Amino acid sequence: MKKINAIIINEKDNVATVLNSIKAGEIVICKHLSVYEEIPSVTDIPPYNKISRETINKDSLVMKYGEIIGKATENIPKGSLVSDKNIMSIPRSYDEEML
Amino acid sequence: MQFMGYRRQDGKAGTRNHVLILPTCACASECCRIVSSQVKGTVNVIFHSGCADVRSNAELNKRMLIGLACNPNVYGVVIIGLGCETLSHAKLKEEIKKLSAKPVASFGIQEEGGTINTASKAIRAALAMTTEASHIQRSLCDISDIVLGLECGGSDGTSGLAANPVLGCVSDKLVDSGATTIMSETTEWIGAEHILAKRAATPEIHNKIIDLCHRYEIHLKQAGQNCRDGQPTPGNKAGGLSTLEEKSLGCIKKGGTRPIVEVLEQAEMPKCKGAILMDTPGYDIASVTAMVAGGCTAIIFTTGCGTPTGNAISPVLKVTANEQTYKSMRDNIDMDLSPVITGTQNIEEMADRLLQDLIYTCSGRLTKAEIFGFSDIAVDQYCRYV
Repeated sequence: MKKINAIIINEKDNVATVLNSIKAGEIVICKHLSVYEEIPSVTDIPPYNKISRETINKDSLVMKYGEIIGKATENIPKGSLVSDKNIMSIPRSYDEEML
Repeated sequence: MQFMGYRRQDGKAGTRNHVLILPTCACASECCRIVSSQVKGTVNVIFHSGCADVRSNAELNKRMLIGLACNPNVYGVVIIGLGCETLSHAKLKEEIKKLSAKPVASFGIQEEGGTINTASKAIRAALAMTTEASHIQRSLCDISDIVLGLECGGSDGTSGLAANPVLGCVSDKLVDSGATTIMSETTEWIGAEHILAKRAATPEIHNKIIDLCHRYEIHLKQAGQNCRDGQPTPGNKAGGLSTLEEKSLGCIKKGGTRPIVEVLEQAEMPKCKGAILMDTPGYDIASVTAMVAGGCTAIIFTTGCGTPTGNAISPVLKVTANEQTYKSMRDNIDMDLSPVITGTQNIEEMADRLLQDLIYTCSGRLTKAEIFGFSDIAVDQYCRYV
């Protein structure tokens, strides 16, 4: 079995959660259920932080848990740290959520 | 499944058998501390308020004090008041007596003539009460008697990945066994409220969940605070949580998946059994305080960054899935859930172990925070003092 160092929680996610400290240039081995995916990291990533699985363009949605966790405030290249520095929260329309 | 608990006259089951030394206001809190320090078997809380409050705060304080006293983990109560506060010791005693058959004694510092006279009488009352309390034996109680508070604090990337899903699984197992679990922290539903609301047992509960989030956001805005600026906290961000949505999506996992049958105000006692919500701040200490005042006889607290917190009345069982945090704060954290992250145990297996640990805790095994004697308390405020 490969030594994994990141988890993809939901297949819709464009980020994975790394399980240990990652140095730029390292190959990150991500796992989702029984599927493995390799991402070359382009930045350092602290433990339990997020790495982008693909390039996320400015204003595009960032997905984790299969849900929207925010939008990109700049272009985020594949393999980068995704953090509060490059994504932001999206205010909600509560009225539309009412039954 | 069963645990060894203290069966009370009203049919509820405690996991502890404390005599509570309870102040009516901040001015009586130090006298309570002195009394409690003299009598083994007692616990005290420090109360920050009790006077010069707007009505909504005064009502919340009253509900908190009554709720803490009525918690099934409390055998009896010695109240100490000052004399000029909003809720007098005599009135608080009367309110507790309306709801409970437990012994209650009360004294006022102005009436008795100072700290020494009051402490002397209160110590005698506490002495008699702890003697009675120590006669009570634990007996077999069904798992359905447990009222568990679900809490998280100092979250990081491991919380939503492992610790909260494990706790959610424990919550589902408890609810399926007829027990009650309460999840709180309204600000940590925001961004995930549409998912939480899907668990509502009725359309009214669905809309109430959305409405509470909306109101909280407006409330904070009125104080000049965008709730998305204060949350996630700096510690959350360093731990890998970047937005309020991300934090909330991880937080609500601790509530499990069962239908939400009731939504409570802070310190309100549940009418139903099953999965319940309580509208509290995301501030963990205030949230735990409100759930204990609502009748939780134990709390499971998940953390990523680590916390030493404990409550005077109910055991707070702290768990983390962050291996480093467990190693570095072993004297504060009760259980290591990191095998879920490393893949050596799955969520279901870990939840069985955590449930077993909860049963031990409810049966009398001390949590680390209890061994240190920690009694953190915070009561939410709706408005500035008058």
